[in-house]
Amino acid sequence: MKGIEVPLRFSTSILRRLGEELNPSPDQSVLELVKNSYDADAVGCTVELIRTDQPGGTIRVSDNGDGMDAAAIRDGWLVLGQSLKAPGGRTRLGRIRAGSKGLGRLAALRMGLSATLVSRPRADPKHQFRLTINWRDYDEAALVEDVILIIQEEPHPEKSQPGTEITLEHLRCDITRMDVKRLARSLLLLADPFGESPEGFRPVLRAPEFADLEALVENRYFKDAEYHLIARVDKSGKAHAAVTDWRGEELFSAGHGDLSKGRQEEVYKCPPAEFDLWVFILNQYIFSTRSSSLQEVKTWLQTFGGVHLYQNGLRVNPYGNPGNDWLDMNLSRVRSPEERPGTNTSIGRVSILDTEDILLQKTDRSGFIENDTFLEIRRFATDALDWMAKRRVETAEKRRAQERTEAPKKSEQAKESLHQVIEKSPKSARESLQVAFAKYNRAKQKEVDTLRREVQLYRTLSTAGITAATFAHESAGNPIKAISLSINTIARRAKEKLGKEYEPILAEPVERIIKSTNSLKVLGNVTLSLIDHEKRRTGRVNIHQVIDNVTKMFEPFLERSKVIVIRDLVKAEPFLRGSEAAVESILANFLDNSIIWFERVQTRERKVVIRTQVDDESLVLRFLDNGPGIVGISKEDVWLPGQTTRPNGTGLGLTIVRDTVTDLGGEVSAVEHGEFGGAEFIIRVPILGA
Amino acid sequence: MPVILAGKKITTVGIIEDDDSNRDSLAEIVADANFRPVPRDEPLPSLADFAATAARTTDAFIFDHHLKQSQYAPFDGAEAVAALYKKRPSLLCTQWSKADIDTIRLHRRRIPVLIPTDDMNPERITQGIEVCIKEFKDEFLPSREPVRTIVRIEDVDSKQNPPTVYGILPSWNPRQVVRFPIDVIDEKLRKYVRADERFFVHVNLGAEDEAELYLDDFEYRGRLK
Repeated sequence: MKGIEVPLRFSTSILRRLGEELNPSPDQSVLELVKNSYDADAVGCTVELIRTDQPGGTIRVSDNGDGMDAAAIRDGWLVLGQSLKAPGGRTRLGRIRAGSKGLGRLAALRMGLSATLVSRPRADPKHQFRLTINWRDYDEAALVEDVILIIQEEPHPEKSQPGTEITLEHLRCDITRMDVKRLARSLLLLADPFGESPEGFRPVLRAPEFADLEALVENRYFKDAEYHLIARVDKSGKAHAAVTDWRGEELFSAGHGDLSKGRQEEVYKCPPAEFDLWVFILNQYIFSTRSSSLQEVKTWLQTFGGVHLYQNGLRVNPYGNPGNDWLDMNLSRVRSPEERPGTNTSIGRVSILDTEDILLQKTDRSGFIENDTFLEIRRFATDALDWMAKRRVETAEKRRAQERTEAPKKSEQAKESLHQVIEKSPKSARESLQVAFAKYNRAKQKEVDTLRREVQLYRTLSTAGITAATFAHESAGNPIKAISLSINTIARRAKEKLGKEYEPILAEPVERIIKSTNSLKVLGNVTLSLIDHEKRRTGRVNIHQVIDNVTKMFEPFLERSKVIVIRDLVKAEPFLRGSEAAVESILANFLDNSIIWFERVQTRERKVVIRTQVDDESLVLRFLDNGPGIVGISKEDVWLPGQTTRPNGTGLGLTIVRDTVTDLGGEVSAVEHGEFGGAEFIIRVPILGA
Repeated sequence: MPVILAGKKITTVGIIEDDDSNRDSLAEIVADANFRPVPRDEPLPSLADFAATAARTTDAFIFDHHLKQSQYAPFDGAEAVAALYKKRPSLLCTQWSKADIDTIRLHRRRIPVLIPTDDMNPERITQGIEVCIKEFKDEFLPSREPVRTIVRIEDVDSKQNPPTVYGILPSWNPRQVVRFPIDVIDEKLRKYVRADERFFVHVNLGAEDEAELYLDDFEYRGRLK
């Protein structure tokens, strides 16, 4: 039987599908053509946008690279899906090719109704080769192979340089201002504007947006950075790092073990990589002595900030783009703002020398496929960031300790110099100055003593809290467990042996033991619940939920003190950003206070009302009771630390309330005798919603 | 007289509890359940040695969770129950406190029965041992049956030791964040653990309470787009 030779054939619709689906955005498509220029060893590459603010416009990309002859166009440029990368090889200028497979180029070429290529090869610049692709021809044809393209050879009239020019005409869509801005940014960042790029590749966009950004990128505010992190992974996967100050003086350094968190033997399984990060402290005080203004640096960082990723000298999208925080820097900064840089307070790059093509870009050019190598690079960079954060905290702690030691000395010196000045003053004024200074000094000393006592009290209470938690944990595990298990056994065995006799003889005392044991458990659970670390995490806090939890937690104490809690809550679910512990401490201290104050008066029906209202973007929380009210102390003084009318009272409960409300951005006030005759506390805190 | 539970003879129940009084109290309950209590008074060797020797001579066990504090054992009760999974029916008796959630969750897949101290009585012990024997034969209670499902990572708190992972199990409760220690995930996969990543995981979706949940056999699924 005679066979028929047939090739696999493609419908022209495949070109449309590929063109549409692989075109993430106009700027990325144009960037693909620019990368072709880089691969062709161009030093200059110009992108022109002609009437592109509406459909039908033109884009021209021209370069002074090596150009192509007819064979190169036919066997390379026109072949889709074939990598142009010579295996292991480099270009004439030693560049490692971006290795485009032509799919991104297809997306770019299809932006217009036609695409024209004119190329002058370096070997024969007196001739140029012209090829026009009219996409309408494909729309009318059934199969890709049905459309024949012609490469025309023509003499070049002038003595000119080699290079390639691609013109996309009759654009299907307009290029918006935002697209132009993105393109300008992408072109500027493409060939590493941070250092002295050995490639010397500088693409240019002829558009006003580009000139503005170019000026901005040229400003290079690196000298205004507080820290420069330099981390490297070598060929063997071992890393080292250093942090320098703005002068380049080394502050800290680390070997592989320090960076990889003690896993000395565990190497980073990735190609050699370099991570540089410049960290800025953006505050007015620091910038008051600098030549650059804070606003300039902020604008620069907002435009170019973040950590960009370069593979073989070319930037890979979208790492470091606005909104792309691939190293989770902003998340870490939220948790530890003091020592962590965010994408708006730092700028950096990770440069990877990947000659083996281990890192693979996704076909739609939306970053790398997240294979193990990519994840190892990310691990290396985040380990370096973690290490720098730890060293910075350490330094800050040392500085604080030193300040604590030096503060009294400095204060003494200042006092001494003031004494000397007073001694030198005219005799008539000297005496009154001495009296005034002595008075000031006494007041200052009193303030210092108060603060010292306050700190001591906080420390004492913290220790009491830690000890209470240990006791609570221990008692739940051992004595309470033993009582609980034993009483159940006594009850069970007694019921079995005594039968009907059990009820009159043992039921009541056994029940009393069980009830008391349960009360003990509650005491322990309340203590442990208050120190639950989950509650200290910042996040969305549902205020009504916390009110429910706290009142439930206090139930046994409220019951014993015969206090009824009435929850008069607004019909909504107000929430704020903060920690549950903060809201809980406000409510717990109020409840504690009420229970204590009720002991002083014989109120028949003790009640506490917790009332919430939502007002604009605030929550108003009222805490009222029918106790004795605020007596023996002014309503202003109840908030002061150490102010208490109770023997052995700490005088800190309401201070903690005040400080916590302030931390939440709110305010607090008190009424001596509120709606129910007792004290009334009013809190107003900003909320996110209800 | 041995008690026959799910076709298996159970005569002796070892009691592993570091507090003397609690050990005696548990022994009384075990005796009331018609088993012979074998309270372990001496400090225990390594978990491997214990599992290889003492475990062979006793039919079932009751473990307290906290065993390390008084140097009674170099392991936690949860670890021991997990090590004896499919070897000896073992019950974990503990005050279920939030502080214990992470260490217990790490082994929860291999802890068929957890009895709070208050509920410890002869009936619970007998039922518990029976549940273990059945689970060893893959006859799961509805609340224990593993189902392959997806967990989406919400956040990772690296400051905890071990780091704590917060995730959502949409097929269990799409509105509740579940926390678990990173140690439940195979070390090779931990590098993928960050917000918006998803994993396939075996979970007892029939669990009514977060405390009963286990997460086991993680497989990387990919990032949320």
